[in-house]
Amino acid sequence: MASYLTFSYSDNLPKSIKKNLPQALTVSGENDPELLLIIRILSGNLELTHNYSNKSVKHRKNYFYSDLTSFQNWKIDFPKLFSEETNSDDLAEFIFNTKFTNRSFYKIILAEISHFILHERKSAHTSAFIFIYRILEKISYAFPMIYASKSSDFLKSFNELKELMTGSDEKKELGFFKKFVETIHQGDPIADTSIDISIEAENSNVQKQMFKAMKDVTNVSAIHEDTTEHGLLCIKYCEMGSFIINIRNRFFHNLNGGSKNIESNRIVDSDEFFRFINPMAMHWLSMILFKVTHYSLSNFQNHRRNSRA
Amino acid sequence: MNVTIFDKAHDNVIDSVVATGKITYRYAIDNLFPLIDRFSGQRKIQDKKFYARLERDILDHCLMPPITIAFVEPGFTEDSIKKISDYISDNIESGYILDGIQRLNTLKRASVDERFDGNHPLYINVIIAPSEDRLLYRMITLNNGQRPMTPRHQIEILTQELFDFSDLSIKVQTEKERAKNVIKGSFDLGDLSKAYLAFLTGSVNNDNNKIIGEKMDQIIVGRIMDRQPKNEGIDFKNVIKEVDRFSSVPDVQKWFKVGNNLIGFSVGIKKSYSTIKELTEAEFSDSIDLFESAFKYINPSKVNLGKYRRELCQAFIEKYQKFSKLDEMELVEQFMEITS
Repeated sequence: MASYLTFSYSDNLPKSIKKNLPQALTVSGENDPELLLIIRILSGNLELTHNYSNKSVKHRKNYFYSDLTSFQNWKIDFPKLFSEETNSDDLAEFIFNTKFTNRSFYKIILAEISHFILHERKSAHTSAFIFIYRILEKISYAFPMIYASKSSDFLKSFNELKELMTGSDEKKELGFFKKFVETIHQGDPIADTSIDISIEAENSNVQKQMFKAMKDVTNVSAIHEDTTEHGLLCIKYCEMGSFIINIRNRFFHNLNGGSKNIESNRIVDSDEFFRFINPMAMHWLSMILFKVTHYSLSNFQNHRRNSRA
Repeated sequence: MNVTIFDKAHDNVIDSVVATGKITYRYAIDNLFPLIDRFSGQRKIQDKKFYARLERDILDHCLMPPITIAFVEPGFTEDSIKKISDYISDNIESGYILDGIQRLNTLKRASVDERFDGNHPLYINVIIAPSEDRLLYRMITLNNGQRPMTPRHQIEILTQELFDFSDLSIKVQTEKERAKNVIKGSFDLGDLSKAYLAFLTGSVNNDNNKIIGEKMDQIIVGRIMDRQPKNEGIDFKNVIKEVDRFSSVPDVQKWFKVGNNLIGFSVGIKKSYSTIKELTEAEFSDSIDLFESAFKYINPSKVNLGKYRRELCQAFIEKYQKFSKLDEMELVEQFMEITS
């Protein structure tokens, strides 16, 4: 347990929205549930302060929307992501009553997200990507576990786990999480969509070169048909994890032999290169986190009702 | 002759007669212009400058791009060109302007100028479709490239424009009408259009707040196109007819007025129409009671309530023959399996 407090958080919602919010969804700055802080920071309405550098970031990107635009009214719009019937009181009840569940895990995730946002703000995009990768590593075992442990059907959860653990001959770290992502999105139309990385370098030659470098290290099977020439690389929704892992391997590991690496020369400016990848990678991670939260919320509501009955 | 047809062919995908021909500017103003109001919702804000130029060009005797007119006529065959042109002339007031509303508006404006020549030719494309569903399929696939209107919006409007609810016993009201004066027991047109969308896509889940509009529209168009309108032996009109028939039992009417039930029913019935249409109102009413008591056992968490209702309702209607014969607990077991 670290004794030095690396980050502090404060509520950055407009007053008009904050005043109507259930108490359990507001951020006081002390002892706030980590899951709430994660949700709020990814929604783009939390201010974070890096205490050592005394740098504050009023973060505004909403990673739950693929175009990163803000929620018009977080109190109404965010719960609606769960389902039409869900409101802020449902969410408040869930957050309040589960604040001690998986706390240390969410604490770690919150710290990684905070570092990511800090580095993004400093335009240190290459460094920011490292935290994307660290989050992916952390959740790739934890999320499937959270999912399986809450299943009320033992036979089914056994089969699910078995299905997750075995099967593909891909590398384990990849296979387990990928299978999980596919399993939880079965029948969900979002699985047919893509994560769109738009390369907006000002110089068109640079744009072309970056696009090519990115595309060359991506498996053909991960590329979505919406991809356009030189501008927009669309990754199939369920393949985004593999894409992130690939980028890491081909850029940071730079191993000799085997697959092709990303040559520094070709990407011209690595911070620029990761500037295009990072927001969409974080969007995807946010959506996966959301999906798991959705599942936890549903379970919580089931338990509540059963214990009342 | 008012309508001249040059040629005709058959569109096998939508099983429709397609023809090309010509009319005059005057005929268009007298007969096509009034049809615009039938598709009131389709009118969009126009680019004034662009159409001002077109207005001038019309007066200078330009030839406008063809206007597309559509008709719904079950069982129409294209034996002869004369038959087609006669049909169009006789039924022009029940046509729909699929493409060219702005051009007709501009034509109308130009017609008050003294230089206007009403005898100038205007080329037309004609589609005579056997059902509303087929026509809609073609409209969505035609319009998707340029996207003047989202498929969901299109279906919403068309539900109102294409279907005639006046010969039903159930009443259908738009949200606007409801705001003014609610007819007791009336159906919400919005719910019906969602049900129609579900019917066309074969899916009960066409709303997803997590997917931005444009992407969801892409998915919906994809789903509609994937299920080419090959003869499934049922049109949405048939669905409405069954809803209307069963709604003679007050409790069943109440049940159908729950949007999610209507959506689930509209998708489920595609696989069981031959069974469902033979049911008496009393039989169906009993089955709904069975469904509801089993659903109560499932008792989904609030966050999944709407989704499960749609999905289980679809499953129940789809497998009606099997599910309606089960007892309550057996049905609960089936439902558990579907939702777990």
